[in-house]
Amino acid sequence: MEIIVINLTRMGDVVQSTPLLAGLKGRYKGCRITYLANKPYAEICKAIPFIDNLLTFDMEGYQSSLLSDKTTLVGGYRALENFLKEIDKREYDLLINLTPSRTCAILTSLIRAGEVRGMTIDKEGHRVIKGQWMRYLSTSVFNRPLNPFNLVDMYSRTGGVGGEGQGLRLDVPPPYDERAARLLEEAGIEDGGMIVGFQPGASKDHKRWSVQQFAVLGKMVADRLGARVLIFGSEGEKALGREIKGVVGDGAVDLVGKTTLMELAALLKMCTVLVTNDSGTMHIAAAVGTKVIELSLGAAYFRETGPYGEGHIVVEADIPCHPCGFHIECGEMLCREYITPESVYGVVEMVIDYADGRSAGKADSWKGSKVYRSGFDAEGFMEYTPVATDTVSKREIFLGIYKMVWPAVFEGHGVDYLRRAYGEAFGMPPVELPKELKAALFEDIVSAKRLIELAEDGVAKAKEVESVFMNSPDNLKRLNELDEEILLLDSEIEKVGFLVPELKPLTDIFKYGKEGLEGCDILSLARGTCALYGDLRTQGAILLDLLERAVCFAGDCCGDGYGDAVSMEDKSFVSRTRPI
Amino acid sequence: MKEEARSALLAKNLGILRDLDRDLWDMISAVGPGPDYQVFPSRSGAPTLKIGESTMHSSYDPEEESERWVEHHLSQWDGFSTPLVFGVGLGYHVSALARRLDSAFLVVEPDPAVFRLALELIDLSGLIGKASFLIARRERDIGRLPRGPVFLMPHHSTVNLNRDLYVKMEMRVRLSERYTILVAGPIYGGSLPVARYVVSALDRLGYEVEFADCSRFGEALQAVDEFTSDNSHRGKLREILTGFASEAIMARVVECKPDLVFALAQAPLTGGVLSRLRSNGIPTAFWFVEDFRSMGYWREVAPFYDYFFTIQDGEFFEALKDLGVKNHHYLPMAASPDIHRPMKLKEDEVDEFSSDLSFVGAGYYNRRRFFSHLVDLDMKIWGNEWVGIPSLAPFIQRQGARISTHDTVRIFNASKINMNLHSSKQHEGVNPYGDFLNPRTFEIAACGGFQLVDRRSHLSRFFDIGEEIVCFESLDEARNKIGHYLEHAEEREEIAARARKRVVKEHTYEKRMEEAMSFLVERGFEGSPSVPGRSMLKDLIKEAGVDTELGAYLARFKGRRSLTLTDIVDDIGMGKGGLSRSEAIFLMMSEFMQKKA
Repeated sequence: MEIIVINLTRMGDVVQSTPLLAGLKGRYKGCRITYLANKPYAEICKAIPFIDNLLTFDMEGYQSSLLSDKTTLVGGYRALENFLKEIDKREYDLLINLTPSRTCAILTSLIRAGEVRGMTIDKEGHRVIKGQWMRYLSTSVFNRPLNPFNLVDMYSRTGGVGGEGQGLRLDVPPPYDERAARLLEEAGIEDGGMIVGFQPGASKDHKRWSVQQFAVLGKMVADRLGARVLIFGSEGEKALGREIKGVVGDGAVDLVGKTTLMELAALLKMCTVLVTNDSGTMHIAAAVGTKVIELSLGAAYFRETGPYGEGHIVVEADIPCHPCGFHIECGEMLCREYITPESVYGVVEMVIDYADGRSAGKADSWKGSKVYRSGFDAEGFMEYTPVATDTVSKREIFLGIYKMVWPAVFEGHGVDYLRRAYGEAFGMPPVELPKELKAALFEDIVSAKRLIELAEDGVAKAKEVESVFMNSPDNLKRLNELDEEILLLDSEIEKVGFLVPELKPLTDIFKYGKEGLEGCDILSLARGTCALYGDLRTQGAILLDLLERAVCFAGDCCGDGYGDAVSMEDKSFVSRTRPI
Repeated sequence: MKEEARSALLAKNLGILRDLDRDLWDMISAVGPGPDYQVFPSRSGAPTLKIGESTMHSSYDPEEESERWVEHHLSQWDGFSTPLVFGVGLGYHVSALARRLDSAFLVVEPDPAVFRLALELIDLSGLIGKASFLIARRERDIGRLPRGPVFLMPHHSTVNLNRDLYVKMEMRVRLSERYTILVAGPIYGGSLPVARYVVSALDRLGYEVEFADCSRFGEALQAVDEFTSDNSHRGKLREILTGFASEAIMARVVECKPDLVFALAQAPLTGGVLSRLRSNGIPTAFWFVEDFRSMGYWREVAPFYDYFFTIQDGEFFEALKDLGVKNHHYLPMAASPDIHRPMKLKEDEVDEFSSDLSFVGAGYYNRRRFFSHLVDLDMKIWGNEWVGIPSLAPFIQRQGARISTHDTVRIFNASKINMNLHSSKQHEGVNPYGDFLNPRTFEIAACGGFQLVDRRSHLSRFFDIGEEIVCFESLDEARNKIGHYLEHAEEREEIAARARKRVVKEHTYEKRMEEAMSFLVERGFEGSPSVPGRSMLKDLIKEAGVDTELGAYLARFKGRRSLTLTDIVDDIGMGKGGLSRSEAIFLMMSEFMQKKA
């Protein structure tokens, strides 16, 4: 079996695709994986043990060549054509495009492959997303705070794998370990000493904790723990390294811009812990088995792209606007200030204590921050559990609900999955909900019911279109009326999403589905439409059931009105046969 | 070949020709070779031709010579441009070319007698669908060449006999290039509609036209007057706005990379921007559709332009020459018959627009004076700047609002007599020294309206006075003629019909633009060179290889001179179904470009 995986984005995304590759190798025994990466990350790809054939394309280089005087239209065209020829040397059974850009969607459409997953374009040039998880990934950006899934899991599930609790993986070749050891020796760091890595840079400024705070933290770590601080970063981040080194002094080694990616990986392996922004370095650390403390800032959101694996720590500002949208240009980054060097130092101590077998009780110092620990849940999804908290928010309840809704729907094994899930912990702490929260959830229950009704109505209308078309295709009047009614219905559905943001993930994925309906004859469109309303109805019913249980779980059972709209076969899993 | 065989072939060919091209057949049937045309056998036995002292083909082996001719020319052909053979001779090289070439080509021959001789030797039936023939004795017979790149293949003996025509042919070939022209219009004023007519004329002529429509900044200009009544402030603000609009035009230039910037009078192009255009190798032309005597700003702008068009000559040309402006050319006003046309008016339009006498235009001093003496007539005056003359107040329509082109055309159609008095700021009525014609003269005529126009020294260049147009030199003469023509509707209609015919034939913007472009080419205009992002189509096809998938794809743009990635992506058009591989690759390139931007 020939598989090609396209990942032409950043380095972090490459590292985050390693569990997918591992899963594919496990599922398709003897398969051959061709991996297509952006050229600057070719080196790191060599540390991925699952790649049989590495192809690279210099995205930035090609872009600049197009703008240069020397490249003609024909020259630019031929460059792409030759690249395609290189890819087409093999014929692929499965293509997985992890790059959600139009450029790569077009590229995907040009590669010969049996089955395609991810973004591509159809014959008309319109974007099409193949695979439920990739479609979900595309809509989740509109409702980020309600997305419980890590990108790594979404990648893996797109490939039909995952759930094995497989972490990120990079195999650093031994010569690099030796080189790293030599580098440390030169810096006067002896064997066995405690090493704390810092990654003060990030791809975007808003993802960065301030360099002054890093410097203060570095001083604390060096002075109080006697640890050595290794500062990592790329050529363009040299100023950050200099500033931290200036404050920390001899306790810090400034390696910014001095390492290749493979040397970086080898050095990260030697760190006790890495304190980092959301960055490629963070993912490399996780992939070589080093514990990570991520400071999740600005638009970076740990549930999406946090450190993947067991036992990493995430620090988030306890502030309602985090994560902000990608388009936000924040004029006052309070999230930077809320996370103080003291609280991060407390977290560093906790991690080291854990490593030493001691227990932690540092929560007092975390004022202004929320701290999470990563781990796999029963289904193998990454979960970030609050380390110490005594409250539960509406958003967290919905995160828990959506964590069950989407796999049940996408993996097509809703009933079994939910039965299993109910058997496990509910994903929410068993605490008494405040009165206001309960009242708010009851309102959401009403809205969810309304959404289910609308979906029911849609199923009926779509079925009528089909029957009118089959039995009296000349009845254009009725067909036009139905068309109007369905349009109106869809705007009602959209309205529910806007009025109740907690339901918007459902209405968005429905909308995406409608936009992506393929085919141009009435019959196939009617059937596709009917299926989409059916999906919405099912998703709504599952959500409603879970929501009602959440309220009941909290000790206040609601009426028995849930699940009315669910069809017979669905009722088996929503009926409360199991006491919670 | 024997005499009889040649006659038989000629008869057969003439038969084919009669079905194919009746006009050509007429011409060929009517001619015979003159006494100095000698057909005689060459050494190889094939006939050859001598006209006077000129040998048209080798006297050794004309067939072998033709093979070499074809070989030579095809080695230089890009495989894509339309081949155009100048000179048919006895047809040896035409037959040889047809054997070697799969695509169609054109043959132009100046001498019908030679073509007739050729028909005794070549078999037309083998050339149908491949070669087309044109007899062109003079330049105007050449007509319009096929659009898109043309590859000239001269038969040298024919060129030697018809050098002038060949030089003009070369020029035509250059004119047939589909240049990209950016028309820069004014922010407001009388040259604004002219700019629009120029745009559509160039478009109809087959050029790629972009319009930098500065009227979009018109509101800002109006706002200036509302913000301050202080003239020095107004001046300063207008200057800033002009600089701003000029920079906006430059931005359009950067984006569309034109072969020529064609600016209309009052276009807001500053010396700075014009200098930048010049240093970037982008040719510029200016059409000064104003009276050089009353609008003196031509002195400042003319030196910045590569080509300068005027509606006056004589004295003005002397002044331009003194200024060192070399490439100036007389290019009078015109009409746009797709806009200015006869039309059937609706009932309410007849009510509003019709009158015995009408005038559309601004209330210049001479017009105010002149029309004050016609207040006893059924008259309607349309346009602005008429306030403050109590005697005219009852005649001013729509409270002196500006009149749109749309309504102007209806007024010209509805009035029994359209008055046309050229503006003057100092004369009491008719300006006795007036020379150029205003656009109104051509527009009324194109609408099929009857007009009385003040006498202008240029009038007879465009119309046959008395037959096609009626003019007056004084108020009295105007009154007399108004009286006469109101009485004689038939006369009015006949004259108007003749005027319209003349304008449609000779005085359209299309004709003017043809002339302007011919002048440019005569003066060495070749468009801008290939610039980054815009490449000459023929170079691209050559680079891709004519026979490749990409070459074949690019050939669909045949007819264009140059191509950008945006042109290709615009052509692809989404949702038409069936994206080809080439199209998808170009779409991908365009995505890469956009990301950078």
